[in-house]
Amino acid sequence: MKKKLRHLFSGIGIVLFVFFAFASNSETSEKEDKEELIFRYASDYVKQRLDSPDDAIFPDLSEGLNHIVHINEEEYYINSWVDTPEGKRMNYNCSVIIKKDYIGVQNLEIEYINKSE
Amino acid sequence: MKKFTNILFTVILPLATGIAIYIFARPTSVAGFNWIENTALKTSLASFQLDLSLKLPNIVLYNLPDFLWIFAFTSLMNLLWSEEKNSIKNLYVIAPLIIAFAHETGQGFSKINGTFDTLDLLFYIIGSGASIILYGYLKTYNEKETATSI
Repeated sequence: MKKKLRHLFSGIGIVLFVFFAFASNSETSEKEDKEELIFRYASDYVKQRLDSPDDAIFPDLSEGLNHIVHINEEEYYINSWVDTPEGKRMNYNCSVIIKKDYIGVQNLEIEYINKSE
Repeated sequence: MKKFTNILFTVILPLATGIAIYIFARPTSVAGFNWIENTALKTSLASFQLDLSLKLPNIVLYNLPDFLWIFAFTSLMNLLWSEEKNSIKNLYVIAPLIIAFAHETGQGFSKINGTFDTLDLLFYIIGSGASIILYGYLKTYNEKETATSI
């Protein structure tokens, strides 16, 4: 391989390294990462129980993380909402249980409310 | 063929493993794969991600990708410059480590966003060192093989 090409590929390699190694570095803590996954998990669980799951609108992550309460090492309580395309809002609350051999959602309650109220 | 095997096992595979850790066990997407955030895939992965992130030790989730990135790119430099024996080769081979070191040090002095982590630095050094040692060994091995075949 010609030297010029090697320099070119090396330059591309270095740029890619910077891109992968540093652009991927999230500044979130382990606790935030865990809560984000828990929120996504609960949202997915609720979504599967909706009539039109594909059109459901959940709060964005920054808001959703405020809807999580850390009860103890094995339990997180979530009190959040989901909007339907018809303009209806549903509040839901549930507990996400995390044990060594079990991860699941318990005590899910969904309450339909009218957004305009 | 040998070169392809080297590329596969020391560049492509480590990169793919690092990307897989981000996609399947961490909520944050790897750079370049942010489009996953906007797809249903990310939400449907949530259960699997949560399960995996609880099973895997933190060192695998947070430090192994650093090792894999630097190992892959140092190996790429080693492969590109394998026929050379000069300071340019050495510079390219240690370039990823220098950049990683500068990045972490910059974080330590609050010049770059992020948190300084000695473990990250350690994994960068080990990753870069592992690639340099591996390619040094492969070079000696190939030279011996060529000598015996003559």
